[in-house]
Amino acid sequence: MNITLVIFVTVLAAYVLVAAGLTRFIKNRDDFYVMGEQGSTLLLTGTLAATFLSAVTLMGIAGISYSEGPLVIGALGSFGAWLGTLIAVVWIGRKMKAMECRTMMDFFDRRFNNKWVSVVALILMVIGLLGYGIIQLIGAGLVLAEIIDVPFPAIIIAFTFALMIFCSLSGMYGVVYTDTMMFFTMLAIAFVISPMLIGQAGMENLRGLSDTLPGYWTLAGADDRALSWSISQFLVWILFFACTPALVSRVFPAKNDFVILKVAIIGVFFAPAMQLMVYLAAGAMQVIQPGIEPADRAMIVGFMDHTNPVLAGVGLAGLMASIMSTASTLFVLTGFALARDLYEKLFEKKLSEQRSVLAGRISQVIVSIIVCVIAIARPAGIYWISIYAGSIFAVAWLPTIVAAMQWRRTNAAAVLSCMLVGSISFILLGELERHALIAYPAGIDNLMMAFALGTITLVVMCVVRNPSGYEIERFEEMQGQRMAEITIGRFLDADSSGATLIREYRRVWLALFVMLAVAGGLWGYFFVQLGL
Amino acid sequence: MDFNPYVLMLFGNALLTTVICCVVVGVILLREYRPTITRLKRERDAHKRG
Repeated sequence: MNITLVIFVTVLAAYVLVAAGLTRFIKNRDDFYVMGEQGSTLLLTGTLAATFLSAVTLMGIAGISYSEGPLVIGALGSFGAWLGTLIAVVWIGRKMKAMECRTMMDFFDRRFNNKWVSVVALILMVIGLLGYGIIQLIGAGLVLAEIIDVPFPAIIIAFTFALMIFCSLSGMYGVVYTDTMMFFTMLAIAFVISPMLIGQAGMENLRGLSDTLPGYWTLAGADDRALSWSISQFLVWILFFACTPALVSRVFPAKNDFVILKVAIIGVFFAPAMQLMVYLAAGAMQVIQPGIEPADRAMIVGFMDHTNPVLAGVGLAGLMASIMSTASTLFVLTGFALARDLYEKLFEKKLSEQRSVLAGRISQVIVSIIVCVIAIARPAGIYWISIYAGSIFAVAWLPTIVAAMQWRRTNAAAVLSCMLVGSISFILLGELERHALIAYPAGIDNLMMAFALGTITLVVMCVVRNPSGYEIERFEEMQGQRMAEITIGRFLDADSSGATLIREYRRVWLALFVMLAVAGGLWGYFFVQLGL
Repeated sequence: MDFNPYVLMLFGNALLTTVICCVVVGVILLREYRPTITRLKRERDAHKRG
């Protein structure tokens, strides 16, 4: 049995065992959907960072960093993703948590109480999550099958079986705990393997890449990409990450507001920290071994051929983690959408706590089977869906969520129109360009136009149509729901002297100053080494 | 000083992300928590003196 296969099986078995052990914590639906709101700073930082770092970073973007330079996506595109993560956690997630949302669909249901809004939002969410998740699973699964020398269907069956076990047995508990385990293997890639590769290449040689590959240390990169492309990447990532359920829903299991604030500070630090270390290591691979084809294997070649066998194993486990952490979050949320948002709420089924958990578990099994079949069959349609899946939240959800949170006049008809116009125009404009029927000016793409069209539709509909009494009532109620007030109330109920509240308040300040110092030191060091 | 502005942009944006995050969290702490924390501290001091 080859060593890579042993690592693959051991890592999967460890996740499944941990998730099975967590089943005892599932007593009711809140435990299953939001881990009984007992999420600590460590667990939620782990799940946020692990979900953030997907196989796209370790393979696709690392490949671009290897062949064109670390700045091409890192300087603006990734910056958009980091800011989007911040918005998702501190603003959208925190506000929805204050409204006691268990899923993002709860927000649409409570704010508008309109079946059409709920149905369209649900369809978009299922397409977005599954389309984005399955295509990542296929891409990374193909690479992994080659490395481990195991048939691709066997990899997919093993992955989806493991996902099914930990999503259906322990719901959000399983996902958050296994994500945190995966986070540590990713940290090993970012802070052990990557510095080792950078060290092997040497800072001077890394800087000197611009001599052999002109433009390597510029925004345009070695392929001389247009500035408008970088700006477009920034917009795509910030709009997508700000409202993607995979990130926003990480906040819902938080124990209290202090946990959310600490997760925002620490988790958002780890987003650039993990990504940039990988991009720099990919650049180092250009020094160590130029000419790797295809370029998206650069980091895998780095783990397997330029570290010791133990670190190669850790690197492989980290690659598996990057695939599974993102996939588990996307699939568990799809299962929640089917069980809770579709079956229980839209079909108006009144279920007991036990039956609700059972429905959740059954839907996780159904999602796993669907994912497994689609991933193995690889129908042409899934590749088509994946072009639009991830970004559908940016064009259809973001304007509606922002308006619903901030604008009193927002109503169901406006939200419905925005979601339909945004998503349909996004696909339509994309298809026209893909089939060379139309060409857009440099720096303009279908996402930006669809976002603008959806937002204009929303504004016009809000102006011409008055909100219902229910919508005004919910808006005013929502304005009064604040995480800080809820947290202060709960802390003072438990300890009327306020000592615990004051201690937690100070801890957030401490985390804030520590992370500022760490970020200043880390990025300052790299700038001095590579920029001066 | 001679430096690569693009490299400054890369690491500057990474630092800026943490700075923005800390400013946002700091404002939340000051606006939403500080009044209660100050009141509690004052009450505790008064209780100790009394």
